[in-house]
Amino acid sequence: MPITTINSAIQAYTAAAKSFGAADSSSIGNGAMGTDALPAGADFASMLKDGVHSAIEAGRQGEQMSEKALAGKADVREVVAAVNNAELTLQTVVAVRDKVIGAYNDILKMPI
Amino acid sequence: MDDLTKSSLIATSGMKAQAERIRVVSENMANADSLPASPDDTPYRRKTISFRTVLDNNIGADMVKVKKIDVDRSEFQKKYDPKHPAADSSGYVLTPNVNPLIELMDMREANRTYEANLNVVSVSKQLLTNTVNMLK
Repeated sequence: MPITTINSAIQAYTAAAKSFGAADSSSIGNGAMGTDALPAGADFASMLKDGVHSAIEAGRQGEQMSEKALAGKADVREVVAAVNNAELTLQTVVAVRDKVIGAYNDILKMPI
Repeated sequence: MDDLTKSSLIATSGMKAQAERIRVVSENMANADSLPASPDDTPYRRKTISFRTVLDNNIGADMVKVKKIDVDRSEFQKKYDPKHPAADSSGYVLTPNVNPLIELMDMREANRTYEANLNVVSVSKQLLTNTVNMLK
């Protein structure tokens, strides 16, 4: 998908928001950020919220596996897989957040 | 779930299976000299391991699991040692049907397969990390 216009860039961010499964329309920032054109719940705040939730969930699974490993109940390989997964999910959320905040800052600094 | 995440989970199942295989090999190696206590006793019997394919519903892919840890039903070997408490009337003692050379090759094969799966995990992790890093 070639991103050549502002519109298609906005669409790309919306697609990213949808990929995190954003469904919470009562979150803060809805409407205040001028997201009338976007589908409900697809704003940045709820996208970030859902992304962080999945990162927390993955982190929790990693912790559970580590705890089991300490008790001698879990397989080392499963611990490694769970911790890797948690790390990667967090990295993805942080990268998307930085990217969108960067875009927001760019717009903020735009001379009008 | 991402395909690369899936492949590292599949490779993890392979590593688990091979680790169990190495465990069975080490049991056989350790007991290669476990002789019987009396003439009507049997010595250690070699163990074998087999694998099977299991469809994991969570990720929708074929994983590997240990099917069964069985025993090798081949003949025991004999050793002439009349002073041993388990020696029969003609002075022979039954020894385990473990061949250390076979066990060694089995361990080497398990080691290679484990390393191959380890490489799958590290390649899929590397690819995912590099893809996410494109956002930065």
